[in-house]
Amino acid sequence: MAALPLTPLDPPDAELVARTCAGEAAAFDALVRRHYRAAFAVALAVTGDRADAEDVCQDAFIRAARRLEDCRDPDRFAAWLCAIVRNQARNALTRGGIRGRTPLTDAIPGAGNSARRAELTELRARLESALAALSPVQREVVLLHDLDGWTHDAIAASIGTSGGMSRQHLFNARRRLRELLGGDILREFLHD
Amino acid sequence: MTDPRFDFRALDPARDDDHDARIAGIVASAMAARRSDGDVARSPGVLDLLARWTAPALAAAAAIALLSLPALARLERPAAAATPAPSPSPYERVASWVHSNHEPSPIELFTVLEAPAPPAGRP
Repeated sequence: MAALPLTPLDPPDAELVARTCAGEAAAFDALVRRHYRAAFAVALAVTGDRADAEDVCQDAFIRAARRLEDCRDPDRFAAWLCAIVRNQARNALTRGGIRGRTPLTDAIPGAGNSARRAELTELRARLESALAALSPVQREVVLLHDLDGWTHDAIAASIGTSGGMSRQHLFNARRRLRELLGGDILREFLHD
Repeated sequence: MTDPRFDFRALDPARDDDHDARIAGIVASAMAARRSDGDVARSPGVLDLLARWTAPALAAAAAIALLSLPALARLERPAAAATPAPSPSPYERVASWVHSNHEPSPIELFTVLEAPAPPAGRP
């Protein structure tokens, strides 16, 4: 799982940004692969729908590419990108461009295995339903932290709050999710 | 705080079958958009075109003006030469008639007699 990073990324985002500005598509490909999950987490937190989140991500990455020269601190590309994703997702909601719930069976892994497909479909439905009960900021914090492994400092910088508030949001989000989903969906990690 | 993480792997977009194709599409679209933006930024606007047109036009006008200076100078010299010489005073004209034994006509006599008096000090 590519995460915002306890260890320095190699190559650093700033280098990939510079190479993309110079026209190197492979550098932008690396940026997209590195940060797609985080962008998706933010988009899903706002839209509440996987397919809509994918559309928002696509638009946001293209917009980011077009405005890459405006990224004042390329070392913080992820936070800059997430701000674009957040705005794109909110604009899509405001414009009514969100398609609404789409079949969750689209493009899921193991498409040839109907049992696995059904299991995953049910799991996704449970998770999305539980996430819908959280506030948008709780969704964003828990998804960035637990889906993409962001640190609280990185989350706090991205959403404009303190590390303490990020921890509080995460604590409340997890407690609510446990109430809704039970403990069977939890995965233990040795370190937080 | 050692709260266990939630397992959101089921929501992970990287697990979708079409994830790689989706990313490839995003990268292609994004780079095409950047190229397109670059082309637009490089294409000249109306002011650019005007500037490009006026600069050579101004340069040509300046060159023409420089090349015209000698010709204009030449045009000015005959004009200066054409300045009428001071007409002789009535005394000078009468003296010339006497010296040349010229018999003036009535008109010549009239113009000499009607001519204004010369400024003081002039003979």
